[in-house]
Amino acid sequence: MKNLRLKSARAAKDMSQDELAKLCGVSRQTISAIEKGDYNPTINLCIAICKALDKTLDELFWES
Amino acid sequence: MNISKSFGMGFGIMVGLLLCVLIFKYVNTNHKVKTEYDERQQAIRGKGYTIAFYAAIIMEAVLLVLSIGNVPLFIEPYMAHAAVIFLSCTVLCCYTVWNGAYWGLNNNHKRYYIILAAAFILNAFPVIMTAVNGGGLIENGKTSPVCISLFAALMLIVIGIVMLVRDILDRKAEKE
Repeated sequence: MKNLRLKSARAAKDMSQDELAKLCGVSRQTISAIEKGDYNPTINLCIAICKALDKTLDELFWES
Repeated sequence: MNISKSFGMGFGIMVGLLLCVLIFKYVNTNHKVKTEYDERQQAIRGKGYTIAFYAAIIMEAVLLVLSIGNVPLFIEPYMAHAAVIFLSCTVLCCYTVWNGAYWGLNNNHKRYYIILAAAFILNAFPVIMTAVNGGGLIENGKTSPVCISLFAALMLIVIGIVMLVRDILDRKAEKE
């Protein structure tokens, strides 16, 4: 399932996939795969993404 | 292939490997050359090694069946095993390149292309020289040792093409 909340949170910060990837210490393809729903990140990476985007885990990764 | 040729080839491979280790040790004095991969890349690489392993096992099993059945091959047996190694390496490289797990986080793409081009030239050179000197790739109905360079060059071309296509697609995706 696509993670549109992550994509919109990144866009709201005016950040490219590459910039977010560098902040989180992963490759751009990994961020792209998470947004497309092709890859389930570990909790460590989820936390790194949340910190980079100033969001909580619930806001970005909890399916309501 | 006679024994002296086999020893010569084995010795050459060992010297080549030793040189690679020495060059790596010399370049990696600050331990920065070690490629770093993220968690997704590590998972992809693990799957890539598994697929390449199965590819090698299947091809070796086919060779085994052919050899039990005394089916004549137009390539020397050692060349067939070399082809299996090259094919499984190609499978691993293409799979990891296509899934964005070939290059690590700290790798320079340009440097990889240069190394790839240099390796291609080094392997294509003996093939071209053999052709120029009038020698054929087939001697007495069997492939000559220079075919190993041809296999390596073909492998590098395939990997290079996959790299280029992936790079173009990645650039497009980055712009979107």
